[in-house]
Amino acid sequence: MKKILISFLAGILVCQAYPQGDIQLEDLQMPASPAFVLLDVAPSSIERPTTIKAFTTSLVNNITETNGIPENYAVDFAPYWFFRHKNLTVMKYWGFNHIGDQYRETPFSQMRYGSLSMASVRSQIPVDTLAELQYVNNIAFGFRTCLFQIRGASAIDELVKLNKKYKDRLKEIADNPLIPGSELANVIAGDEDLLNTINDIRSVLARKPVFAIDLAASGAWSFGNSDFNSISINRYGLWLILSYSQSLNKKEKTIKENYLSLYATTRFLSDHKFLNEEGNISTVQMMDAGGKAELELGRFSIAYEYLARLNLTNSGQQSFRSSGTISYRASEQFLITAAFGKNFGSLNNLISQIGIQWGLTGKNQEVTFD
Amino acid sequence: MREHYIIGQGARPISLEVKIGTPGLAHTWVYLFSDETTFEKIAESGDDDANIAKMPIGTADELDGKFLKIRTSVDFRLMDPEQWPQLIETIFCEYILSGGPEGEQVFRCQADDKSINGEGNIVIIDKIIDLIQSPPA
Repeated sequence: MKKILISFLAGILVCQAYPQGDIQLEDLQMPASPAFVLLDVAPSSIERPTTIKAFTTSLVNNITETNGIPENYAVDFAPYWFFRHKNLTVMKYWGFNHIGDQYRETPFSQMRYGSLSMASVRSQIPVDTLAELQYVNNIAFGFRTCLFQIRGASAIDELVKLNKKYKDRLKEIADNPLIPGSELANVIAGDEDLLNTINDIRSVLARKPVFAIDLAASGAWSFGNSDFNSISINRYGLWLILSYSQSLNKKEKTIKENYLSLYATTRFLSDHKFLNEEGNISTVQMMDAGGKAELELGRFSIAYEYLARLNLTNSGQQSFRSSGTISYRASEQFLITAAFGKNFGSLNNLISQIGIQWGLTGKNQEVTFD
Repeated sequence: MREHYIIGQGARPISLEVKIGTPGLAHTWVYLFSDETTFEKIAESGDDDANIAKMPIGTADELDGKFLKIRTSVDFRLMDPEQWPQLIETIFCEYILSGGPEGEQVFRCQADDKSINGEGNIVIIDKIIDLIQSPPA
């Protein structure tokens, strides 16, 4: 009954989540797949191949089906994982290395795990925005990566110790070559000590890095009626976020859930197909720059953000957004957020909304409260 | 797939090196078997990775008729489950034997060397290499 009631309330709130249309609570966040956000038309589904074989198969299939440029195809993938890597170890993957007698962070190592996104969507557009063309092929490419990351010395020390703890236990239970491999794999999977160590490592890895720089960029082009000569750029954009997080939990606590975080963010967007108030297509370049301070105490968080919007094409149209946000994460799949403040622009600029993000992991739609 | 390495004869030293590349928690053991049930552990990887630096494993005469079982355990439970199949497929494994009359030979793990648990997140790679003095007839 409780679940039914929660689902009902969630349904109502989802319907009322964004009454002001273009204001989105996730505006300050970096897009997960940057290529898709610059398209006029959202792709109906996104493929996420994990193998180079799956990637080439899906690409070839879509090209074959349309005898050319795919009409509705979106793909997001991390090319690093398509290949074997001779020198990859778990510690390198976590972002540090054994150099001499010490373990040292390799702050740029996360860059290689970045993802690429591509999309191709065919759409019909109003004739007056692009003379004599009714169908337009939109293509977009983007990437996203973590340029720089520092976990901090204490996290590294803990990961080194936990890795050793895992290996010591593994040596106790697995050092017998007469046990068949399939049986040994199940013995390792069922060992509680190993599982507890895995969970401890997971908790350390889940901590926010002390300092990180994330970068994303994308560009979108269009051309009419499959005529490549008519290609023109629609938009290109860049997102850059610097984050600093200080844990407020005691040092000996493995699971850190209280943080004071500071973010500095900048976005640049060049829109070459901007439809202005007079109905004409023009080029507009805008840059957002600002910051956010956030206090997280377990499931509860409170944040303030300020973002200045600079119209680089028309310096007379500067604006800013100033807002506060309160969030409560009821479970991994269920986030309630309320935001208040001033949005960009001088008209209808009040931010006053409550929203729910549901099914954040995309796998479990059932909500349970502790 | 069981393979063989020609070690020749006499006091020539035979060496082994193991290179494992994976983002999973990994560890390697090297066992030298005299027969199917008699073995000794001759090496295992350290805390940082699953590699084994080049090391002598004996002379040709000492190793004649024996076989190596190189076992690597890789645990992917910390990785995204959607990645598990691909990560299992792309584990880099090289076993380099040297010192025999034909010089250095690089062996790689094959699909049938891998045993995977039911959930698909733990892999045991068993590479068996027979050490023989002359090529089989």
